[in-house]
Formats: sequence, C-alpha cells, structure tokens
Amino acid sequence: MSKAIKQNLADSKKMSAELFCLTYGAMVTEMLKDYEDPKDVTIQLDKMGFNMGTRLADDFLAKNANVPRCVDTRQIADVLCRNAIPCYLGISATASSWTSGDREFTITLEANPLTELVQVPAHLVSAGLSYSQLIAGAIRGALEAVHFKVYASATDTGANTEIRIRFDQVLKDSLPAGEDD
Amino acid sequence: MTIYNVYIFDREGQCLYYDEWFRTKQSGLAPIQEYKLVFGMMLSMKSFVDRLATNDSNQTVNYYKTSAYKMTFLESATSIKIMLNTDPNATGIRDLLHKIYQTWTETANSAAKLELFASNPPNENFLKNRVRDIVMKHPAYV
Repeated sequence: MSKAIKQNLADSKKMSAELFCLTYGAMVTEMLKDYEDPKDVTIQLDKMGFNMGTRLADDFLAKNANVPRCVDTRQIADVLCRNAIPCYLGISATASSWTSGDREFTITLEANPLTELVQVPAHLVSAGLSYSQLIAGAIRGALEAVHFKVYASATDTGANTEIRIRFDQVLKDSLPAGEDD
Repeated sequence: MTIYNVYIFDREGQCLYYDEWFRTKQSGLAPIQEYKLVFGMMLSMKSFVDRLATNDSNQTVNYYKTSAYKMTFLESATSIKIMLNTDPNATGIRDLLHKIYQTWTETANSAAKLELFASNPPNENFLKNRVRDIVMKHPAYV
C-alpha cells in the first residue's frame, strides 16, 4: 500500500452514519444472497465483528488512557456503555437485566445507527438472521483482546437493539511454545 | 539525556517493531535472538514479581534501571508490550510510551492487515517515520 493511501486511512476518523448504515445494509443483503441460510450470515457477521473488535480494543485503549482495569462484569458493562459504545457508535447505551450472579447482562442500544433506516423482513429474523450481530461480535472481539471471554448475541426489538452478554472466563496469556515460566 | 532503542511485541512475543537512536554498542546477538531474550526477560520478570507479590493487587512491572540505562515497560490490556531503553535519569518516559502505543495502534489499524506488520520486517517505514518523529520531539532525546 502506498504511503499516501495509508496516510488517508489513518486520517479518516469520522464517517457519515447514513453512509455507514447504507453500506452495511448493502453488505448484509449481498451476504444473504451468497449464503443461502440466514443463520450463516449471522455467523459471518459475528466473525467480522470479532475481527473488528480485536483491533478496536487497542484503538480504544490508546485513546482512553485513564480507563481503569476492569475487575468485575459490572465494571465491564460500565466501560462499554459509558466509554466504548458512545465512542464508536455515537450513541448511549444502558446495561440491565443482570442474571446468574452478575455473569449475564443486556446492553440496550436506543438508537442503533445500523438499523436506523432499516426494516429487517420478519421471515429472515425468524430464519435466524441477527442484523446487528456485527456489534455483538465486535464487543466479543474487543473483550477477548483484553482477556475476557464472553458470548454475545444481538436482537433487534423494534426501535431498540439488545445485546445479551454472557461472561465466560478470564483468559490467561499463553507462554511461547517450549518455554516454561 | 538519551533515548537508546525501542521494542514493540505482540501478545505472542513476536517483535513487531524495533528502532534505535544512540545505541553505540550492539549486543552481538542476531536481532531475532535479542528480541526473544528481551521478551523472555519481561515474561520471567512478570511471573517472578507475581510469585513474590505480598498481596493480590494487580501489579505491573514498570521499569528496571542500571547505572547506565533504564528499560521502561508498558503493557496494554491487550498484551501489546512496548519497551524503551533510555538514560537512567530520563523523565516523562511513560507518556512517551503511551504516545508510541497510540501511534502504533493507529498505524496498525489502518493497515489492511495486521499481519502485514508481523510478516514483513518489523521496521515498517510509515510507522518508523511517525515513531521517530515522536521520540525525537521528546525532551529526553539528545
């Protein structure tokens, strides 16, 4: 890649929400044609989100130097809702519905930019398409990058998008092969 | 005061970036070997320090210092490790490390593939220019 292009990429920090929404919609439509089963599309969206998330984690940490190291899921939810989601989606989010001893919670996005101009056909939803799974995947990826293994799934409920997050475990850094500590 | 050299490692211990400024004496090792040793030392130091910890608080290793130089560590929550060798009396190095981290993420995230950095020689030109810029502007440089 030439230097000029890279410079451009590095500088393009903001983009129009509408353009983003339309491109995303076009992409999902295209994927629905490519994969016959909407469930596969959800899986792919989740993977794409995951890959984005692993990079966003670094970006987020670089920009927010004073975010504390999280020690419990309440704190994770707090950072997600107060710092991360507003930073990348430009909207506010709330965490609620804590269950199984604080291991599971729901993040509600009130004005999800992805679904702003979108109506997902009901038959696709019932066939397993989760339109906003990309966001859930990104959260999963970002948390995995900071050593929290979680499961995340997104559901669009009318105006809101709900992301259910289940905390699994704290990951340990593996040592390079053949070396003991 | 002087800034000698900098290493950036990913979570697997691969050296993503290396650069040096006033390093007049080389270690006499192949670069790859040297990166491995530096990374290994950091890991050992961390596990050693964890074993000897007197309580369960999440401690970090910040630097080690000899009469000739100081090696400052920065480990991000994502396990990106940055090490910088400076004059033992240099100040404001943590901020500098954070700036290098910022630059690295910006550049790495704008590269089409993060692997670009891993598979190519770590001294990627664009990143190099930016890191050099930051380091040379730092008061501890020269």
